[in-house]
Amino acid sequence: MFFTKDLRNVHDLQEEMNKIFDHLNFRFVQPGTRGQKNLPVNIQGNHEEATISIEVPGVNTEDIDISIEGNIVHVSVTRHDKEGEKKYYLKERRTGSWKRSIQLGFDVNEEKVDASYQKGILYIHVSKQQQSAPKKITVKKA
Amino acid sequence: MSTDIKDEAMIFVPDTDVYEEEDVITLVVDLPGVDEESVDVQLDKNQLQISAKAEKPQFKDDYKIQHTEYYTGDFKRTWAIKESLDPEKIDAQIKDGVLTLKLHKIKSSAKKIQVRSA
Repeated sequence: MFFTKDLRNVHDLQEEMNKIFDHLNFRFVQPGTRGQKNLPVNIQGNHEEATISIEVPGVNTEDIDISIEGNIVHVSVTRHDKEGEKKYYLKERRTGSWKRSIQLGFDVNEEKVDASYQKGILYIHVSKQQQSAPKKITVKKA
Repeated sequence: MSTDIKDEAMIFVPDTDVYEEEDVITLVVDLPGVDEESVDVQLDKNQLQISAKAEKPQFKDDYKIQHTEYYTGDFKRTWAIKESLDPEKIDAQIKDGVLTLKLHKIKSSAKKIQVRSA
């Protein structure tokens, strides 16, 4: 059996199938399921720094909150329905508030966080908090 | 297998909202990573096709992928629209990865004739 966990619903099955088909250069794509989650996160980086990319089109920068806590980056975003109460035939775009907490492999230097929002993608660039050099203690003679 | 090959093989169906007013149909399409130069809208009779190419972000050479929850690729979606649309009057605007398309309906030219009593 190649499934690694209990398949509770169709999405679990689809995810598992995707994992298998990823190796075959193929992925199931349905309307509206480009990412399975709200605020899907990609991380690229090296040992010293990283760029967190979050796909969240159509939000105002005032509605994005980012905070740092040790090695965790907390992000919360609200997306409003800009068309209001117009009569609609189809509504696939999700609106609401979402939160993600992204744990990194290093403590983040809070002074060196840079965030930008371009073409509907939020980029958060973080660097490693440099640890202070160990303090040398001289032993005095009695 | 390299990530590049996998990315190129992907075409996504973008999330879309469709609104209808008396003479305008509005489509709101999520196209993250897409700017105005890389989106193409074509109306052929009653078939509307939206295609877009998402630009791949550039990172430093020594960066490695550490975590992936979404893939980048192109977008494509085709709609069959029942109403007659004016191909000259399509407003398209893209902002923050969201395309807003306003399609104007062609009003029926059939004139209503009042029948008078003799």
